[in-house]
Amino acid sequence: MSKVIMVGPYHPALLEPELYEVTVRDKKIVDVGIKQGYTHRGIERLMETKSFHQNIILAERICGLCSQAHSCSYCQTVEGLFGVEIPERASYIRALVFELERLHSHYMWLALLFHTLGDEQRFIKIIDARERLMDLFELVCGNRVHYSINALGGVRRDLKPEAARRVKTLLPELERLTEDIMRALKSAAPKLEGKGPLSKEEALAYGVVGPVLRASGVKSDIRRDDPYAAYGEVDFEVITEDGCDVLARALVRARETHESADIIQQLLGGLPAGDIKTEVGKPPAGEESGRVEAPRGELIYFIRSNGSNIPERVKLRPPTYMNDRAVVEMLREQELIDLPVILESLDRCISCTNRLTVIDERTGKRRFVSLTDLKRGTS
Amino acid sequence: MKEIGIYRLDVGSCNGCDIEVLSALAPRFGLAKLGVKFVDEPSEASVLLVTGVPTVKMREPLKQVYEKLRDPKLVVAVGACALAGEAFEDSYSIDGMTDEVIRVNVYVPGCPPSPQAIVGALAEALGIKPKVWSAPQGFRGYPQVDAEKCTGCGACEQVCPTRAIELIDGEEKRTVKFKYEKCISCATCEEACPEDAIEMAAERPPPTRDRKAIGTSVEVGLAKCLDCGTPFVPSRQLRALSDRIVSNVGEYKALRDEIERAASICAKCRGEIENLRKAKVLLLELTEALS
Repeated sequence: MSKVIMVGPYHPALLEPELYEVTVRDKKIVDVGIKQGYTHRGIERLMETKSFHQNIILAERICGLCSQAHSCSYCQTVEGLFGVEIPERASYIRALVFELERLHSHYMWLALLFHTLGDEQRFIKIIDARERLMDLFELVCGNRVHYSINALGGVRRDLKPEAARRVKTLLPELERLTEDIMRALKSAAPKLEGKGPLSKEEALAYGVVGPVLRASGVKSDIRRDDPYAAYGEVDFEVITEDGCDVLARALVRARETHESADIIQQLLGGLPAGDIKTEVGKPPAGEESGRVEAPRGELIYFIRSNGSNIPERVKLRPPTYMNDRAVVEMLREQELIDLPVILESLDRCISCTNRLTVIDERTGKRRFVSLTDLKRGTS
Repeated sequence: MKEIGIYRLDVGSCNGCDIEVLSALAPRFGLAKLGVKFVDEPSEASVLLVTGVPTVKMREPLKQVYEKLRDPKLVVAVGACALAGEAFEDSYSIDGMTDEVIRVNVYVPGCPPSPQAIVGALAEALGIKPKVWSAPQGFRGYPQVDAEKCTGCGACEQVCPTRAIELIDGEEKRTVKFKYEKCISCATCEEACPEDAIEMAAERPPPTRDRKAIGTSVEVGLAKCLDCGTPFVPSRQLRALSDRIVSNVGEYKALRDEIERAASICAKCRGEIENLRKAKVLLLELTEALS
């Protein structure tokens, strides 16, 4: 007998609402359907009503966790359209904030992974350690989330020596946190190994991006493949894992925090002096696209201008758009009880599971099951 | 004592507020001292944290969750989106603000509000005296306007991405209104202000029970058109304009009064033959002054 389960909106740990229709037979998942659009705010359309400058702020507000990725990608694309080169110092600061963001995003994800596994103590521990990092954002950018540091033609805030010093002193502390997480992942490995498999071929076929792709053994990273900001100047390893499962995805992210800390060290060491902003001039007519490696993977912007100060069209392709679909492969033949951790492993930027509607396939009857019950395996 | 359940619902946020709500669980913010805990079911909670601007698709779920809450059904709207829709107010997928769907008790302004502000708002909603946190070095708060320097030119209103700044022209005065309910502390206005009259305060905004009440405003007198008598431009702006022209081009100093007079004619009257003639004369004089 099989039944359809609706994994519907909201949970305090998972972030945004989305609906999954999960068909289950004998507690094993047979098929998954995805319904999106619960937090659709019509941003692409709104961007066609605001000026190029105002849209930086709007791009940032597409996602709280990838705020720098969005605004950086947007600014880069517009700068490409205008034909402007940003000062070297500005590109270093952009990359620095980018890596700090990757750190806080990855730590948040790792914390949520332990929360999903029921390890509340470690969840709180990582969140607490992450706070030291968040304090730095206030010093460097002026706000914890939504930094508003990018401007067309550079950055808006210079990195003060005091801020640079504090970033530097925090790095060893973050390294220790990463080591701690790696140890914890090792002991949690039996719960994660083999869950939500996505083979290299499937990953390529679905076009997944970012840590999910790298966890399936594909060496792909926009920072290396198509360097932007100051990434051409730094040396780092593109982390891959061959496990193709939840554990591999966790390891990729944990090891990436180590790389990010290393990149920050290099950026601070080589930070050139000079201006932080250039004039961008008047917008020409034309088209341009740009991409960055957001914490969740490749993020693409396309902008068309008709020569006015308002873009004619802005199109973006966020990483979760590609990754979310692969959930069908990952969940197939998996135990229903593993559903939360597999969904979590994607680090979706549109998420959320708590209340489930269970539909009996034969009778069509629905019943609601809480995620807590699901975790206990009582559904 | 039994802990009070809190339920968080995202009705269309960018995640920013949600991760800050999550960060509020860090021990340093003392959330546990309030005797609250986050729960997984609305029916176990009596406090609802709403983040984001309610999209058309989430209006119904929002109502349902509110109905399921335990009494006294306290609602805290977190962030500029939940307060007044931030930059998304005009979107086709938005139809009314949070407090038009359900009753909201406490509003937390900010984009996103810091965990300190969220914990403070929860305390306020529960009737506990909140701990006051000072803002750290480098913090970008809300715009403060120097009433002495502001000329009422409206540059800030032009650039504000969320339309948090409004110009209201009366008979005698222009009011420049800064609505903190929509403000996202991006400092775009600070950058655009030609008079350096705007500065971002290094303070965390406190929670409020009336979202429309928070903000600041400046009043500047309006000058009347010399021809038709309609008030059309702040007199201070006229002054600042001629100041700037004279300081940039020293040769125009002698013609200052005439420049100011020419600028004191409204756009409609400028097209009158008599005014066009005067403007032509002034232009000739300006050219002469340079040679």
